[in-house]
Amino acid sequence: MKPTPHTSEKKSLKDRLSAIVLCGPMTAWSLLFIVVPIVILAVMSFMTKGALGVIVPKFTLANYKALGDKVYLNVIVQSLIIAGWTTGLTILLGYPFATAMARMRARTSGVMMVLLMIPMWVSGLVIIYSFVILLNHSGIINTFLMHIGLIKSPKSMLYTNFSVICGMLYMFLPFAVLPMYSSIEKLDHNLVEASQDLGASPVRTFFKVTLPLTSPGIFAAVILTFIPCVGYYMVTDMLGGGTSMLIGNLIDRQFTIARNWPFGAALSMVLAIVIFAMVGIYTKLGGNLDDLG
Amino acid sequence: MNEKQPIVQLVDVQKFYGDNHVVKNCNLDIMPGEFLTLLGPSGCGKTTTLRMISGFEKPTYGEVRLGGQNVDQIPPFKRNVNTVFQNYALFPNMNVADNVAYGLKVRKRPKSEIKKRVTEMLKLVQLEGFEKRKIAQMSGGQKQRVAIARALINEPKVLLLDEPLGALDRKLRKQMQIELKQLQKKLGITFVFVTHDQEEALTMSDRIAVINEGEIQQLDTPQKIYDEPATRFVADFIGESNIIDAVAMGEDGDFLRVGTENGQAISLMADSNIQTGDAVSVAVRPQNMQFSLEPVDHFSIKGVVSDHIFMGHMIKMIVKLNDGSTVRINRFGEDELAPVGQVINLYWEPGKSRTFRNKSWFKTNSVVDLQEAVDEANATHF
Repeated sequence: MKPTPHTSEKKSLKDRLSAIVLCGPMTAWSLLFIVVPIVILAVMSFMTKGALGVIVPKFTLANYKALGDKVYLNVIVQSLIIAGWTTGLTILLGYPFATAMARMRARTSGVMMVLLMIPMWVSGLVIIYSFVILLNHSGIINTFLMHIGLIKSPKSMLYTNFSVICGMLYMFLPFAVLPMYSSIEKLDHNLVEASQDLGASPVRTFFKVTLPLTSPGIFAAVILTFIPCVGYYMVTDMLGGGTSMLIGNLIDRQFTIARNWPFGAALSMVLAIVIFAMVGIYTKLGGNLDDLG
Repeated sequence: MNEKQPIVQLVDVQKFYGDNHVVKNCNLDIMPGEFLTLLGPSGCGKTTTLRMISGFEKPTYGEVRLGGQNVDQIPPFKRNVNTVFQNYALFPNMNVADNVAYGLKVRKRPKSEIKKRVTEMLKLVQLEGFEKRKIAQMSGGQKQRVAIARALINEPKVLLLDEPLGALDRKLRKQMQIELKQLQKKLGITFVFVTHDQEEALTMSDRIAVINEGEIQQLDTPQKIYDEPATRFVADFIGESNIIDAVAMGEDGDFLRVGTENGQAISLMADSNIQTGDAVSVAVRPQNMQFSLEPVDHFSIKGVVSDHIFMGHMIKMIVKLNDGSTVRINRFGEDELAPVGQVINLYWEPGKSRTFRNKSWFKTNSVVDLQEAVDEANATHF
């Protein structure tokens, strides 16, 4: 049946109205608190820093030129290295875990899922403080190792890249496991059997079938770990103790201590561009934005 | 290898999933070059049996032998059998040629050989020129062909097919049945085919193993299975049968006299252990069921014609018996029909019916009813 133009027009108007009602509040929120601040940051990043942290509305590229400074380049490189390590370890630990979870019976995997989610419900600050207590010179781990005689004097674990990566790993593991789990669970087990049936050993099957077919989940996990890692300055602040500085810390300092807001804005823009680029690559490779949560 | 030696042997194989006895004491010898079908309703254990041959399941008891060798310790990827999976299980991340080449690639064969063999295989399944296609771009029938080519490229001694035609529409399925059968003849490979479609089994197989509740009911050629079903289940499952529950009343010449709640009949014994008084089932194919308006010797089953169903090449007469059960009679072409509402006498050539001892009948009918039926039937006959 062909709808008459009159009724169809009426319907589309109704549809549009309900779309506005349903999406309106969220769109307004996003515009006000995400798009507008980014625009402000972008504009600010081209302004000049005045005395005592005043922002002078005078166009300059100095903030971006400063990024070429060795000190700042170092911070950026170190950020990428720490984020890379964290991401790599998260994937290496998370993938087998997600595989095991996907193979469990529904009830068991449900319990595992809750156990996995619990750290996500705990405030990041509490988690970080717990690591301080654990890794401290006179902390639980050192005391225990000395007690059983494995080490004579306490090892310094806190305020190193090691402690930073430990903290990051703990914070981001659940976010990495979830997309990998959903990907592995969706994998048709018949394909694994078909591969073995055709003569591929379980190891070969993993690299030729399982890994390529679950790669969207892995890439989603990379994005969900790597991006927050680069910017998440709380962990480096408290577990790194100033020894390691990430872009996030640098930005934080520009706004709070150095009071160089335009430079902080420029750094933020660089970070934002890196993130957008990564998400762009992800979608180009056929990733689904919904999988990122 | 000796031609007479079975290529696949299942010896006293049993399979339990927990308390669930899926395969019960299965003994099966599959000969080289034969097309053997495992036929049964879903959940009868036929796929489990197939998976024990491919190695994805291990028998709880008993032995699986391939080419005379016990393969209990040999994992699937080292067995010289290949499988065509139910939903094809083609690798979606590879194109058609890469899927077909997979078995040779994992064996690290030279590139030139792989290319040559892939071309051969695609030609065999009539998919030349489809090398670069993605799996998602292929139709169901084409995927089926890719799956067959992929499984055959390793030149297996035995090809296992797990309901491979289940997802295809009827016309395509018919066509693939013929193609598969021709392919099997041409290559001379042993095919072990799993299906729940009896028509498919009858068309394609050299031998059929009819399986029900984990037990092989009958293992024989399609012709024998159809003409001489060994159990009530086989008679009911293969083709269409009128199954009439009855009581054995003694021998009548070469045949068995039986009493039913609707009267008496005579029938061929399928089981020499039948004793007078045993509960039996008589199976008569609708095309072998006859009727007469006059009384018939040895038969006293009456019914009323309740319906004619037009089936194209035949008309099916539905006849209602006294006890409310129905009997179907197939009439072809010029065959005479009885009008709806007509009371008719049913009979059949006793040689074209089969009688089975029936254990399960006692569960549904009390012994008292049986005795009454026998008495009543006796009274009317003598």
